[in-house]
Amino acid sequence: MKRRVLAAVACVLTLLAAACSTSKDDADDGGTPAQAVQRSGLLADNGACDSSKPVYKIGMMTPFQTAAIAHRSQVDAAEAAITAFNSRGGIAGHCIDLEPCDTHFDPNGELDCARQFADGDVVATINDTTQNSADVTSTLQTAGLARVGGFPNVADIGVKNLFPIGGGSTGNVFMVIPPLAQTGVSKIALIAIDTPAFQRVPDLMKPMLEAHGAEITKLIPVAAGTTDYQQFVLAATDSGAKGAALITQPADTAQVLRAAQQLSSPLKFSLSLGTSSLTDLKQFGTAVKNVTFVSEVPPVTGSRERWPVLGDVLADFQASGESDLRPENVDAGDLKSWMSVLALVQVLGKAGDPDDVSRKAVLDAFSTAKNVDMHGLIPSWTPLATGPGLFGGVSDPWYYQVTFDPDSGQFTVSDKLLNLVSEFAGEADYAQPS
Amino acid sequence: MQSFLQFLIVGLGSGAVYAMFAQGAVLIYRGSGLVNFGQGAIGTLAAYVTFVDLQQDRGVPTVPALLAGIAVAVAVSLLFQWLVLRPLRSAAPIVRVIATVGLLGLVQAVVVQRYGATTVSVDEYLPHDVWIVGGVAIQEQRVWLVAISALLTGALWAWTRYTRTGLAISASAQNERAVQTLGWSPNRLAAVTWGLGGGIGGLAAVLVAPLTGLSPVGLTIVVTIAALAAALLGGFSSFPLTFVGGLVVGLGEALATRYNSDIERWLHQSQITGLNRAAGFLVILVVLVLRGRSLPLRSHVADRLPRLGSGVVNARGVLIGAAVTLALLFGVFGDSWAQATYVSLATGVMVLSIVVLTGYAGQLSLAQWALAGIGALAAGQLVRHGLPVELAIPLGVLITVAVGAVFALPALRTRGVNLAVVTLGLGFTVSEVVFANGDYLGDGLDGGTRIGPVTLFGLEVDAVNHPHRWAVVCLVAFVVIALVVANLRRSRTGRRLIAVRTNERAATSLGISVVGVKLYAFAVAAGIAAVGGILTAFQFSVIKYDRFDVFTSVSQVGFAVIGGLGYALGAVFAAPNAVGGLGSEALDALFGLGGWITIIGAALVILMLLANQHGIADVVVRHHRGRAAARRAETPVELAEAERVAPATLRVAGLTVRFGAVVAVADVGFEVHPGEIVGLIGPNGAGKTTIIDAVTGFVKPSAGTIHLDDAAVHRLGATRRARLGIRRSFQSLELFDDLPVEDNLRAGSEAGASRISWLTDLIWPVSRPLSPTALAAVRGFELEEHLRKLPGELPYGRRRHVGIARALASGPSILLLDEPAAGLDEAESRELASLIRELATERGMGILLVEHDMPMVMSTCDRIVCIEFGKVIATGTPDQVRGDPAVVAAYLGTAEPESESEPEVVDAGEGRAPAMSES
Repeated sequence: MKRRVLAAVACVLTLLAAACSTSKDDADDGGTPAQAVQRSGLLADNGACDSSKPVYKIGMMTPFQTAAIAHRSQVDAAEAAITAFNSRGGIAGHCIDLEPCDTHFDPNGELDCARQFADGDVVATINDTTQNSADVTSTLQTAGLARVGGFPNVADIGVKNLFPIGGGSTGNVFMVIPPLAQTGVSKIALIAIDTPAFQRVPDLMKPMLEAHGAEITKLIPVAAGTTDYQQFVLAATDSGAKGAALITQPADTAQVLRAAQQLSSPLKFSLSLGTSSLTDLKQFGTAVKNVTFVSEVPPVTGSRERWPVLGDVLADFQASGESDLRPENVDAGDLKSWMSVLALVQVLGKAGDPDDVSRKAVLDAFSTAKNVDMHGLIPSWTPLATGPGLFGGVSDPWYYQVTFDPDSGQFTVSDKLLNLVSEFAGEADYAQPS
Repeated sequence: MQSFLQFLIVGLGSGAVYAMFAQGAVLIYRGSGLVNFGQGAIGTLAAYVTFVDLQQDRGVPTVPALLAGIAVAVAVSLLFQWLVLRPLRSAAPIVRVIATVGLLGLVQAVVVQRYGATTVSVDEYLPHDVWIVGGVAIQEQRVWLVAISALLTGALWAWTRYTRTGLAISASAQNERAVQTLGWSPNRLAAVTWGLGGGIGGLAAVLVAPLTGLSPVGLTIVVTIAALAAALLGGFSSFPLTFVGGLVVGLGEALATRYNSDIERWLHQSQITGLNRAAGFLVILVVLVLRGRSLPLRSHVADRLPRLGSGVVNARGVLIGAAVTLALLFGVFGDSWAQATYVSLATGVMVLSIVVLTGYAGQLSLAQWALAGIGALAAGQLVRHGLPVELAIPLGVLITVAVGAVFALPALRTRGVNLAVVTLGLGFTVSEVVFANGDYLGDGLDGGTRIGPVTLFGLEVDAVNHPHRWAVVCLVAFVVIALVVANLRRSRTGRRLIAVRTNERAATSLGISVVGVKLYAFAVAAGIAAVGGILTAFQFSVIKYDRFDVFTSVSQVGFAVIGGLGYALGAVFAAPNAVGGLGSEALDALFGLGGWITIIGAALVILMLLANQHGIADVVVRHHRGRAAARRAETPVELAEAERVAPATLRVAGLTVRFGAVVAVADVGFEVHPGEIVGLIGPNGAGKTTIIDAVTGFVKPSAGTIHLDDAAVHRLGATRRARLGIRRSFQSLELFDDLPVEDNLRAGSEAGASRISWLTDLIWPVSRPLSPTALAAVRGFELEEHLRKLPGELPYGRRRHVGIARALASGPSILLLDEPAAGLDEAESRELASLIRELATERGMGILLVEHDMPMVMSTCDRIVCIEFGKVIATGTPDQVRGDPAVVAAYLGTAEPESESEPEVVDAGEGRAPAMSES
């Protein structure tokens, strides 16, 4: 018996060793080194930050690596951004330090992280991902912590310490309609994750749909553990829809699109670019040609002519040496981590007293900042928004419309941006940002 | 029509995949008696190795990569069987099932760590043309999947039917020891089934990967829910029926997606969620419940369960434990540790519900966490609508108790692995249909039930802002419920639960309502689960229900097994294992394990099971057991004299029993009067036990009447007949092996306890002495020194005595003894005969004695009925029957020349009968 237990232990250790090596290990990469990415020259370089000055301690709570979701790359992206910005002078000479907290995608884990930040010496958080929004929000709000970037949920919208970049997962849900409607698709099926939150969505979409003369023909829930995705494409076609808006997990998105390809479905699709990288998009098959993506931020490997600073983003990521930050692997979430750090530098560097490294100072700086230059990645940004309605607190309501050519691997981004607040209110005509 | 056919084809394709996974599960079950929850995870690993490690990273061609991936699945399965299941061969089946849950967790965690959570799409490699037939697109790939699945089904069927190894595997599942005597090694057979079953799982995974993509959890869900549902329809034994089951599930899914809107309109619902996942399962559930039996067959062997605790409360230990916890909470623990404490305590409450339902009542339900969610939903909605928390919680618990009784309904017709899978499906259905439907949860966009910060009796106790206070609330709940569960164990009601757990047939024969016990166990466990769910959900201001998933239910059973399934104390050791509980907090704090916690945790589950299959509580308690037993043994048992029973006559007329086309008993009639011993003899297979089964209500007669005095009992159930005074013993003893002898006798005499005792036993389990009748049985069978022992500790003869004493304990008017002398030596038989005679003469019992021991029968009985092929061929006094030519020809045979010694006479007071000489 003892021998068997020892054998079992040996087996477990072997399994652990197998788990230790990832399938794409940097050390095993025998390929040619990536070419150095050209920087834009837009970012000020004031030399390394001064480590003798008080440090801006920044928190970041997100699930690192779970079976369902993994945002480890966003943490890596934040660390890469912080390292890079520190080398360029940090926040007015102050160094930035990241304190990441793994939520394990568990509500208790999120609360634990929130308490940790609230009780610790973190002065702000960036790019948080939470599902237990109400209690995390209240904890961080009570603690007076500014939350920059991140994926705001319903409970987060409208709070005064949240400065999201984009409309988050909630905004993404609604923004998948206009791209289809604008191309003349008036009958749209919603293929969505089977959760209670999405069941209210068709009702809330009514003003938007009316403004575009469109209708939702059917809400098609996608359950976990689905085997055959063709049933969803067929259900959408059956309902008379000419287009389908996908509000699904990345795992399901690829399979739905591939199912459409197998069925040679003429359906047009719209979905959030979300956390899909180039590698992910290549898995979507040729059906991706029928897809219009919406995104709060430009594709990371998008046009450098239009967004020169993307060169700096990629260069900062490259400098980290992390495999999940290679150009083919980065996604919008990683970019938002970088942008959150940029926001800190831009806002706090121009704040009244950058040497006041306190929660109040950070919160006040973001609350009063206006027209923050994000180097064109998003329109000129005033972090605090206090408008009415569900998305009144979204300070950056602009979305890009993106298509992808699988053959060339290139993105095409429409010049016309979509406005979440206007669209949600049923206003289809609105001025574009300058 | 086109649309319908299109969905049909989609459904057939996915159904074929479910069937393949299910065949692997069925094969493993047939060979080892286990449901392998790790099947999906093994398949997932095989698929990742095939498509990522080999094809993508190393450019290995498709076929060799597929074969290598399947080989990995075979290897992992074999390793698991050799390293884990073999050492656990003698463990209770539930322990081995939990080991497979550990396998699931470990392999899945390794996959996540190695490959990440990102889904990987897999290109199709089977031929994938599209044929358009009548406007319907038929995909060649789906046809291939159906064909492969059908071929696999046929191959497995033929193999298990026509090959020696296949037959041996099937036989091994029925009776391992018998197969061993035929020269087959059960270990080798189990290894073959595990290897093959794992390989089939790998094959299914690599075939389905182009449809589903690769993700760490996708296939686990498919296998756990859809494939097990298909296996359930096949009874975990028939490959063809399993294939059909898979298709049913797949078709149900596809057509439910197609007609979801129509069904919503038909049922006047704005939305129905989860119907596509639940549809197939619900069909299978209905079929099973219709097909099931309320009582197990004679051949049914109850699954062993881990050891039981005594329920004795160490008051000092409880106080010290509570005090230490409070001291740590308010003296040492910061918010993180306070949070870990209340998370652990809430899990501990859940574990207690499993102890009651599975540990005590033997009902393996995997729906407890769903019931916890129901409790949270009920209480949460009441709070949302303005009811104070102090009222909402008990009302939520009561509502859940009622729902729990509904969940018990499948348990009335199914048992064992079927029950486990059915409850898994029920829990899954609840989470898909109820917890995913916003109409039931609340009106917010957050998809939950908003309850706000919780206050109790004016004190703010919300976990977000006051984690220490919430931990105290959880501690109080845990301690109170643990005491209630311990009370239950020590009580009459607890004995009833354990009687049903151990042997439903024997329990019924003693007047214990198996239906009542199961309903009660499910209801009480549901109430406790509701408390656990409320403690978990009320930690947050918005209750989200996606956490109440079936996999957590399975994990919690695992925690209970590790802690000690039969011990209320087990919850203390199980609780820290919770995700985010004290265990993971400690591991993280000490070793900074981070993302490795899941792997370490899963590995620890397996290692802890290997170390002690009865749980940690068993180890802790055992060294106290000797001292406690000695203390109890000192308490003298006051014996009483026998009382006469209420006289009654048993009249059987025209009794006919059919099993299909076979007439087992035909037109049998006899009477048993008070104080009379009637022998029932006949060759093996004559129908003697069937007659006893029919008289006691275990078998329904096709014709005939059975009266107890003037009361017709042939339409009454077995429980009712037992309570009216008809009791029996069993050929195969069928004792309650988990209860000491004293409690076996108590179970025999407590069936008539008042109904209020079901409730009062939770609060104040009254310790009554053994009834005078039971004590008389103790005296009569000289069991005084053996009362504290478990039946397994007694020699065979003594166990026979316990079986009879148990049947006697309530003082029945009519006692039916089924081969009570089987396995006894001559002296023991004579002693038994004397006791039987005493029961008739001293106590006035009417006794029907079925025996093959002719000296005993002839010397003990007043009259004898002889049957052959289910018909009475002779009836009369022993002398008359002995000399009857038909009896001689059918059973007794030609008499040997008489010996010169005088025939032995059994002196039992009145009613003496001469003993028949040995022939």
